[in-house]
Amino acid sequence: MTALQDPPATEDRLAASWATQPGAAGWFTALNHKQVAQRFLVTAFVFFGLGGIQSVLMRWQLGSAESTFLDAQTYNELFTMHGTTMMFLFAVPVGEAFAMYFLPLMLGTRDLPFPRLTAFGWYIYVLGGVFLYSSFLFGQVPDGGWFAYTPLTGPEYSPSSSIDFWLLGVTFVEIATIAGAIELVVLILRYRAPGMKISQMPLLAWNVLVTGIAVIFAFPPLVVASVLLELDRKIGTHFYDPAAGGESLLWQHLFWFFGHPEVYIILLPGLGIVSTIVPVFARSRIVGYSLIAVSTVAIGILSFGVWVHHMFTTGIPQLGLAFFSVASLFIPIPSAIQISAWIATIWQGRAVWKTPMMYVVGFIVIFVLGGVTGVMVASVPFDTQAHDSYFVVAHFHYVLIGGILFPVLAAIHFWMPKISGRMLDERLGTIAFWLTFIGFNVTFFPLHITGLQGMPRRVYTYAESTGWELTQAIATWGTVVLTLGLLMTLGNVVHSARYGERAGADPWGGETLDWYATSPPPAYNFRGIPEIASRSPLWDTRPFRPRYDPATWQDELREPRAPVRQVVLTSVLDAVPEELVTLPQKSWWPLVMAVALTVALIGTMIDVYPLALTGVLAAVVTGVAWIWDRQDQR
Amino acid sequence: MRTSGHTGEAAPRPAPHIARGTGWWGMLLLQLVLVSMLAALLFSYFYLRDGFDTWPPAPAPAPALGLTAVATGLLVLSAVPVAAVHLAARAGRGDGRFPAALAAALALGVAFLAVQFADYSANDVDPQRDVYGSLFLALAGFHHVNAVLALLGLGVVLLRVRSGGMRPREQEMVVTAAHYWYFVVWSWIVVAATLYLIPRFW
Repeated sequence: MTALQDPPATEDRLAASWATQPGAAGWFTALNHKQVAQRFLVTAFVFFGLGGIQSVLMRWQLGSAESTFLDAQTYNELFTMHGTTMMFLFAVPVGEAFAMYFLPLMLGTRDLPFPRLTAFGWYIYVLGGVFLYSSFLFGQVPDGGWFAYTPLTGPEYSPSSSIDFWLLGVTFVEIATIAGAIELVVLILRYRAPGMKISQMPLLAWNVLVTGIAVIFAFPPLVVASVLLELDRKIGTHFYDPAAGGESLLWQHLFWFFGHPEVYIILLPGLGIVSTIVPVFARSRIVGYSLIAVSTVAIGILSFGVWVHHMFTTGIPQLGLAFFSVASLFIPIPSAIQISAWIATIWQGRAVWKTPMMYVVGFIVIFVLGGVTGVMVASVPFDTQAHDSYFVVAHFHYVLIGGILFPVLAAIHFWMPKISGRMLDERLGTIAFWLTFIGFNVTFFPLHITGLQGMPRRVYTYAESTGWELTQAIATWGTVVLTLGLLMTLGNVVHSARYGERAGADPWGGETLDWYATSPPPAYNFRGIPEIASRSPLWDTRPFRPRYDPATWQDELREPRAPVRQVVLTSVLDAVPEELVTLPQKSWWPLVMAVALTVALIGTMIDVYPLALTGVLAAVVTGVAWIWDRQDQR
Repeated sequence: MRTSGHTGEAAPRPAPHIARGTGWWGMLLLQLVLVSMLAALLFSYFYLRDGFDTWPPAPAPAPALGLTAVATGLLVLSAVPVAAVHLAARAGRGDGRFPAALAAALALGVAFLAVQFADYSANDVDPQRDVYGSLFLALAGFHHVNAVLALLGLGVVLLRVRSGGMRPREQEMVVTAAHYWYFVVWSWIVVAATLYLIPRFW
């Protein structure tokens, strides 16, 4: 390492101020982005496992005609929880979690801008998820589908509390997502290493920036929609009640105004992961950096203009149909630009076929297939036929599993060496990849055919005379293979964390600053903050030798004058260093705040309003304490 | 570059740093979240209003404007002391009149809420009767929740400034709380125009 990274001869104040307090108190008050992001990652994968179990049960039920393995009510509960879990509790948080762990490293800084908010986000994410899943204990599992259409979910047709579990639990998770988005946007705009102009930051940062801004605009309408529905259910307002002037279709508009950008909120971090991995394994700089960045922004903007394509069959005016159909047909353009850029990069370089690269290519194949069916359903006449059929089920599993699961699996193989300091097994990884890739296609390709044969989604069984049994049975056997592949990856990760080969700081010959930190990185990420002058800092000079000016801000960051956590703020566009600021070191408030809000939630749920009021007041008091008290600035 | 932003520092930070610190950015993004919520509520209002021939639907009368005009005046007035404190804090000027100005803003904000609540009973707003009342609750409720939270924020700032003067941390709090209060003021003008004027013109 260069002089910039040498520890001081005397007292190491930097390591001391970034250390987490030992013991349970340290665990609950920890704020460091890597610690909290690891919790996010583990939690997201636990929920992925739960959602996966639900899907296996459903596939088993559908594997044969007139099966009695599950009854209709259980099936309704399972598909609701499967969709809700995968969309809200896995796909969105997992993308944010990877960004929270790796973006500060890639941008050359030490933490996220609001460390207490990071911890708070994780607490309410977990508590919201646990709240939603506690519905199983009370036998009141949500059964209204993952988009919870009214009037089915209104007070008249869902009088039990199952939908309240859904509305309140999901709202908690949404708040966690919004908090994470605010953090990441400020991180990307203000925390980049000095010299890293916005036109030089890693493409993952562009994707996460657009994702964050999309979350900020798309999630609040769903929070509003959920609160309005909860008001309808709890205090008798009439927003979705046609008898008193409300409209059921209002829910669909608000839901899909969130729901369609949501798809891109899930997808964009995946695209960013792919843009990060492709150049490293193609051994070539990315082709068309600016085009990829611009098309990322374009996808983000277009995603807000297409929500009605989920509502083509609701009887809205022709002009609306035409507008939203055309807008949907624009989406493939920026997507195709990115795919072409990746292919050109692989073509230009000399590809090294390691597991992360295999998942990336698997992603490209699956995502293109999902994109093609997407163009088909964007056309109103075709959609009218395919709507609510298994064709749509096949389409969105291709887009979502292709769009986020494969990039996430690539990211696991790519970055686990950085997180744990140990390599995954390459042979096991290759076998797992082929099982996952083949299993996925065997599961979901036949569903296109079942859909075109007319099988509607969300039916718990079907008659033998329909002729759907063959394709459904193939899909079920595909699920067995897919599950085997995913379990093998899990085994690989667990095994390697302990017995894997040591990775070293930079096992892949990486391009970005995350590979400049040791594996696993210290709590402060970098002892000296490097100055950057290009897009691929680690490729410009090997070994990487950042400029070091003694007796400047670099020195103060290397050896803080007091035991404080310091980071450097830089300007938005050119990343000129502007100021050193200190961050909180530990805090109880995030946990206390999350618990107080959960008390309010439970009080609302069981209609004990004094309890709810106690929770709200406790949250207000905690909020004041949170603003007032910052440990290191008494 | 300013290289000593750390612990317990007494001197205020100069204007260019405090004006666009991370607190400012966080508040900006929070406001975008709130704007998005407000837009969803306004969309709901106009979408549902479109389903009626007459608005407000009988038996609700068109809302009277007297009380809300007074309340709106008080709220707009409250922005003046907040802006004065905000600009001074941004320039790094400590000033003994800050607590008084913040207290005046707090009093005006509380008076605004009191007058508005008197207005709701005078105007017979009933969220359970029909969707018109429900929408009144949703839009006004959204605004008032934010108003209460922002008032709490101003209260914390008042106590901090009174006890500790204007150090970097108080400066950042003033900038953040002031921007939240500006949102409360301008979003009320939008909400009040929708709730009180739309029934008269459409």
